[in-house]
Amino acid sequence: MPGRKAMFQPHNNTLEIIWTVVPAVVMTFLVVNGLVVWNEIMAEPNGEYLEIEATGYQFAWDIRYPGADNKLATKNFRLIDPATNPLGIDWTDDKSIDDVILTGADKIVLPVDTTVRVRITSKDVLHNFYLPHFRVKMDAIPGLPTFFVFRPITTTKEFRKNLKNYPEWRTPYDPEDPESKERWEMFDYELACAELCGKSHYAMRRIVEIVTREEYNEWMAEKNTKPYYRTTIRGTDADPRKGELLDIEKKNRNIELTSEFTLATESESLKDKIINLKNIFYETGSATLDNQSQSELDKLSQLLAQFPSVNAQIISHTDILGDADLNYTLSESRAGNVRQYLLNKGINADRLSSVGFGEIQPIESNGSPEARESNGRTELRIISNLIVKKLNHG
Amino acid sequence: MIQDNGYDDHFHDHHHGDKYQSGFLGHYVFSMDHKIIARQFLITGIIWAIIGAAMSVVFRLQLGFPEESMAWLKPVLGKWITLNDGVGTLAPEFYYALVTMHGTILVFFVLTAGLSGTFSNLLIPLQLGARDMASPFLNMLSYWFFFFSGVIMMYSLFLNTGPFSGGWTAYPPLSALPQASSGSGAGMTLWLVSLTLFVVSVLLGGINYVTTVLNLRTKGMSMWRMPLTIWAFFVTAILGILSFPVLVSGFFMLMMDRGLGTSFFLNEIFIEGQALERIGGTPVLYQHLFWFLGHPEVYIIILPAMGLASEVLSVHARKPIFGYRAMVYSILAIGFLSFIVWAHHMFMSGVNPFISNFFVVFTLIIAVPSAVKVFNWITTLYGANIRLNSPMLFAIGFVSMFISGGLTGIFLGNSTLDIQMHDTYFVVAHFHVVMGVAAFFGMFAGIYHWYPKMFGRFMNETLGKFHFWGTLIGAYAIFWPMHYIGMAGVPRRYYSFQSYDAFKHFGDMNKFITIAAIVVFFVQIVFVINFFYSIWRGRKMTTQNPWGANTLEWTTPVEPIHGNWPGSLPTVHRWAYDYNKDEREFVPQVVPLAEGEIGDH
Repeated sequence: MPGRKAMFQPHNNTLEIIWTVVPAVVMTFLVVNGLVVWNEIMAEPNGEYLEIEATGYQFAWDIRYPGADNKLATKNFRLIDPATNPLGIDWTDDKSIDDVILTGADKIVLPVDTTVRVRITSKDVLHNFYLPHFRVKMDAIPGLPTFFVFRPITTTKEFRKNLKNYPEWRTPYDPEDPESKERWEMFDYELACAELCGKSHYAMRRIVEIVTREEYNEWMAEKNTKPYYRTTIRGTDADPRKGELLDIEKKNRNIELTSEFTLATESESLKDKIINLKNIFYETGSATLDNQSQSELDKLSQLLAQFPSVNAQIISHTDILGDADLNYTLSESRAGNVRQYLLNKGINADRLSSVGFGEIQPIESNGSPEARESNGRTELRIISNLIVKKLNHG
Repeated sequence: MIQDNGYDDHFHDHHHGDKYQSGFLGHYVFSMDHKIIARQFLITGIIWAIIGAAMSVVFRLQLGFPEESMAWLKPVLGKWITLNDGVGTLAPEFYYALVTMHGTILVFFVLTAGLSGTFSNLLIPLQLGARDMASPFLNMLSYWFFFFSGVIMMYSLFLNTGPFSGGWTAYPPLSALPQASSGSGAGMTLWLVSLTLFVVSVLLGGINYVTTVLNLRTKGMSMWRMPLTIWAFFVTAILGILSFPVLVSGFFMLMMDRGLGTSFFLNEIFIEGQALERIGGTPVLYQHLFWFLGHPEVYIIILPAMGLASEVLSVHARKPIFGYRAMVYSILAIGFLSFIVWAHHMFMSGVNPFISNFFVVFTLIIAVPSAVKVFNWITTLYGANIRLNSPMLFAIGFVSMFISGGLTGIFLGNSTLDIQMHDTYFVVAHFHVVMGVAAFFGMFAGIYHWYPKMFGRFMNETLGKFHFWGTLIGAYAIFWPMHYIGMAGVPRRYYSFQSYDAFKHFGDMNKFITIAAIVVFFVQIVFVINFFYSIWRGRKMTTQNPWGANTLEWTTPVEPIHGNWPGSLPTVHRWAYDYNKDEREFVPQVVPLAEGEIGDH
């Protein structure tokens, strides 16, 4: 603009100092407060917490709950088999027996007012475990577990109720269908991936549901009846404990045996008086008792001691493979060994007799390996005193 | 005045009668003259900017109008548009390739080469009173490495498996494993080769800039008399020399992981049905190496823009830049601090949270010299006699954008807030406002202001004003709403938001952003037309110093010559900012001091 003259004002040190110090003070305030909160959020939890694990992969999440022992089992990526062991869990780790794995579209259910620690890992490339509503976010790195601790305080139902207060949430969920449910009713917390991981990075959604403690316990109880190991691995070729009994299996069997035994002593029906001693095993082709049988035998001796007036006959059967006479001899020896074991435990010899029937009393006759397995069995028949004496001495 | 007061460096004795680079190839193509190399960088940069911006229009169409058919793009994008019943859908892999290439092209080719390369080359020798750069030959190589790097990147766009698509940040294992993404095959190999060549270009240029600034200043040009542009380019070059090699080391390790079976960045990976043998490394190492460059890189981008803006503001306000020394110290402080904040890009990367404390502190410290510069620019305008032409509008717009973008950087620098905002549109909005707008505005201010020096003509002023207002309003329209959706948690690098209730209800806002982006793209086309048209038909520059500026580049003849000054080199007697001092409207640096006058501040 001609005619107008600008000021010649090259510098002013006072101003420079003012506008250096003031921003510095403001930044200090932001830093101090910000870091106090940061260090609280990122700290390890005090007290109790529920730890779950989220494993990201192209292009979904598998979620693992620790099960009844509240501990997650160890993993090893070399054990991963997409069909049977998607997470590479080490099934020889005792903690793995009760781990619950949510694959597919199952909701991640968590209890309200509980500290949750998420163990975050990846199978292939970087992903990121992101719960936008909870301000939870952390990269998932293959080979380097990361963690995030948070505490949900509003259940899904409560959140939906709050949304009802907003008119834009009372519109139909499906814009094409005015009869559809309103948006607030369809609200769900969501899990998203927040680190570019390939072409379907935008499609790694899971629903997260926050429920009351009671609802969580119910849901967890139901899930705990079907831990991944027991439903999918147990007894298969992938099972490192194939042929071994799990503690929980022993425990459950003992309870079962107790009730079968009690029923056998009380019931009049002949059918009830014969108990299949499921967990008695012998070394292949021999009459020697396998160590795995100990649990069943000990329980049996305990029960016999508890019911001193009860007498019993031990019956051994084989399957139809092999020579019939040899099978007969084998079954006699086997039943005898069981009887001997129980006598060694202090049961009176007069109370027990033993007999082998070889292959002549199969339960199943279709010849398949499973049928053969059930044909080879040891049974216990509860009988009265007189008959035992007669069986032993006559 | 220079004939009387300058000094003779015997340049013309050595070069008189030379047929220096007189063939077409020698003069225009393989020129070693810094002024031609500057224009080569600029024009190449503009071409890449159009390509990068066009890519952004395509992916914005996907985000704003996901239901609309893109079949009309099939002739250009071929197999990357799949047709179902005549409705064309963009392949997600190519969406990610576009996003990746957009970032790579704009950050490296346009805002580093196109910005630093152009103006450092143009102004360093001219404003320092030097004949040319310290090594004109290396300078020429610097351009040709950039050009060749671009050719390779361009070629990668046409690969059958697709260009690299893992984000411009290229984090492994995604970028290391071809099994993880088709773009991580040949596309990634070419991306790495291209950028390695690019870094060679940057280093060759940087060495030249630093050496020239230190050694070739003319008589009387002390460091404290250099214009702020030179200080900015100088510190930028140092940042580049120190940080780009670290990036290349990361790239070499990535190349080894890809081709030699090493495991720098790989550990415990099961992919495509196989457990890989690569163990012992960590992806986080790459991030440290990348961001050790990545953070200084953004200052490499913004510092030249700051230098250009300072100069343009001062000249067209007819007022010295306020607080010259404070501005220099701020540039030095920003340069130094830029090396110790890199892990603020990694707060959510699995880094030990304790370490993040330090990075938060330093990140917020760097806000202080940045704030000082902003206050100084604003005070430069106070009480000024403002000439509101295109370059000045862009320089003022730069300050506005830098304030907006810089403030959101402070939000992100606080790790607690970054938990929610990392990898959301809030980050995208922040860096676009500072780099995509502010740095560009600095660049535009420079282009409009020094266009007469580069091409001997002026750009059309009306179109320039149209370009400014269109881009200013349009850029705010694009990026302001992005802050909002980012704060609401919408993640970045998403092909579509349709699966998520939490994100899909911003459809209208995304449409708005897309439309604004398309409008801004066309406004830039107007600029490009103005730029190229004016080279041949612009109003001619008839005087040496049309803006009435003090710096040395305006003392060269109207027709530029090799060696810049005929006869002697100028001698400098004062700093560059004597505007409206005493009774004179401006006092060029070559004017000797009067009795008792102080020429420095």
